Amino acid sequence: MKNCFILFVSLFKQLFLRSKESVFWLAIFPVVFFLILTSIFGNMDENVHFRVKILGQSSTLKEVLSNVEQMDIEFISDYSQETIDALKKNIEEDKLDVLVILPENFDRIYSSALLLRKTLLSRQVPVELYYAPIKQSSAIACDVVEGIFNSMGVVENVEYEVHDLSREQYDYNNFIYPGVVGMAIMSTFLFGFMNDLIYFRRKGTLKKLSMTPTKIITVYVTVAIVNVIIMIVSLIVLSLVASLLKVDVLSYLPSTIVHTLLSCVVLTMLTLAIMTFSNNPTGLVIFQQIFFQLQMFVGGFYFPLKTVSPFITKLASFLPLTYTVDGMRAAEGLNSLDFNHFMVPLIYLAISTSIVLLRSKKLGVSD
Amino acid sequence: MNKNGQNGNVTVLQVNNLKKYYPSIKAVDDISFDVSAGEIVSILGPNGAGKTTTIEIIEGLRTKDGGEISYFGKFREVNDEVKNRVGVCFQENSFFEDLTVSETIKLYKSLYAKSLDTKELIEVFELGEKVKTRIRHLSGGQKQRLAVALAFVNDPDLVFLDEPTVGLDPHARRNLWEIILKFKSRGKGIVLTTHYMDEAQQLSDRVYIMDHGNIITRGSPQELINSSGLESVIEFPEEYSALFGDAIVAGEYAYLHTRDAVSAIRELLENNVTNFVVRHPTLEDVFLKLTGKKID
Repeated sequence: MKNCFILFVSLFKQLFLRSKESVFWLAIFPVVFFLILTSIFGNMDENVHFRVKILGQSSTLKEVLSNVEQMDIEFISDYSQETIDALKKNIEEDKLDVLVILPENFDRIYSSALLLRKTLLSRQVPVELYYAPIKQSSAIACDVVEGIFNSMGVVENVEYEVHDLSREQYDYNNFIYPGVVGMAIMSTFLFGFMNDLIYFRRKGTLKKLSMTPTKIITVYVTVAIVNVIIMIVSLIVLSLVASLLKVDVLSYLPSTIVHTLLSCVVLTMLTLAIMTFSNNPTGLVIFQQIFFQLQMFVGGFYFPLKTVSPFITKLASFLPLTYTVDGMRAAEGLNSLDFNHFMVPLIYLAISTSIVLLRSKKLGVSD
Repeated sequence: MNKNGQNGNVTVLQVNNLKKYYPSIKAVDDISFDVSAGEIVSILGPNGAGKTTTIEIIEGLRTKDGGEISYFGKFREVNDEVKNRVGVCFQENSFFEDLTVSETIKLYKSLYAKSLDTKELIEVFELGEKVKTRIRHLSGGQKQRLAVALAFVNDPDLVFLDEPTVGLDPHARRNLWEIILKFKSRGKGIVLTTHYMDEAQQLSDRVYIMDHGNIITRGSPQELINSSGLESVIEFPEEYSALFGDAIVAGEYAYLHTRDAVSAIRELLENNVTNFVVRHPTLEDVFLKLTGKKID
């Protein structure tokens, strides 16, 4: 036990306390990255494709709206209260940007309003707009819809009744926080843990340690523990900075702990499993880069998965850290995936552990 | 009797009929040798001769395809008991570069069941001034001394030293030789792999020369020189090698091993060759004669 402690202290000094590189990449970089992302994208929604549903029928509006490429527009005829409630809920859940409720026979009422607009019989057309102004895409979509009515030159003929469906404070800072946590976890394991093992293996340090009575798996586990501690330090610093930027870190805390610990175990075993297949640093670096880039850009770290194409969503659903980040977001109702956030990571864990157990000899330094 | 006059009769390593075959090559082809306590045994050979493979099989880093190895009197695999009694210095330094000298020694001491006193180790290897220095700031010679010190940290009975003095200046090499001889005198069995023939000649009680996976000759350095039949060696520029049918060319020089030095010198002078050296044969000449190659 004493030897494990001395090994741990030695590795902690080597890999963290005295390594400027690791302090930068694992502790400072996530914070800097978070600040860069929030300063660029904070309070600006990345969704430029607006989802609008219009209750009622209007051939005039259909013709006008068909020219607006950025809008996914659907006309619905069902005026039942259930449908209206469901559509309002969709706005609250960020599945819809704007709901427009037209009066029945909109075209006829609108034509009459146009004809009678300069007379005493002039009546405005009552149109209801539902949106969530706290969410930028919804606010912009609402402006666009109003602009369309304006472009019809009938602004004085339409009476807007605007309803604010913003359920809670939502901003990009809150959204991006789990994404940066996910990136910090990935950096720790792909560029920390795996790189350390590649370096020690290539440099012969593992060979030297394997000549002592200490089991080589003890060295691997100690390196993993050191990296987890570095990651925890990094996440504490990140969370402090995030809380200064009004991120609700405390409500994220339970899901952050659960999902981070699970992903640490998954990535430790995945790293070891990959290392049983290759002693070649180049091959391992290629794996690192592919996995990192794929997970970072496709895994919904920096944008909601529900706003991307079904192919990307499908691809993301095969990646373990997608569920870590989305699972954390579920605490704030910002998740994109509605199904189990543990299943896929646990499948990764089971497969990786099996590979490590079956190929454990390959983790050694002997042939 | 070994060089220090001690009886090296306790066998610490016995290798019998060791084999390691790869699809296209017999890396180690049925070799046997032994090492006794208080003895330095050198394994020499050109690149690809099978030395490293042999040593790594003994160290437990490679599997063997045949044969048996006895450590400290018992035929067995490399287990924790064996590891506690074996020290290894690899050719490449393999440290945690950001630890200090004393932290590194403390780390490796903690990994073994028994160990030498840190102060003694630091004193013997003359690392006292650098004890609080991080390894990345040590010179090549200091790193090499530390690497050898770590091979002795567990007070081993059997030590493998792979090129322990590579890259050191002549003075530092001689210092390290003295340290190695000091540990030998304490009864350690030492297996030395080196490219320096003078080092092998100075330190070794016995030498094994390997080529193509086989041990092609064995004996003490003097026995090997005596039994080689070499009386004189004439070293001259390689462009005149055609003057003698049996001259061996290695690099810029040709080497003629001969019993009739006078005739050879006359031949060289008749061809206006004056920049030649005549000397007694060394272990290097034996090696050159046996393998046809100068050690790289």
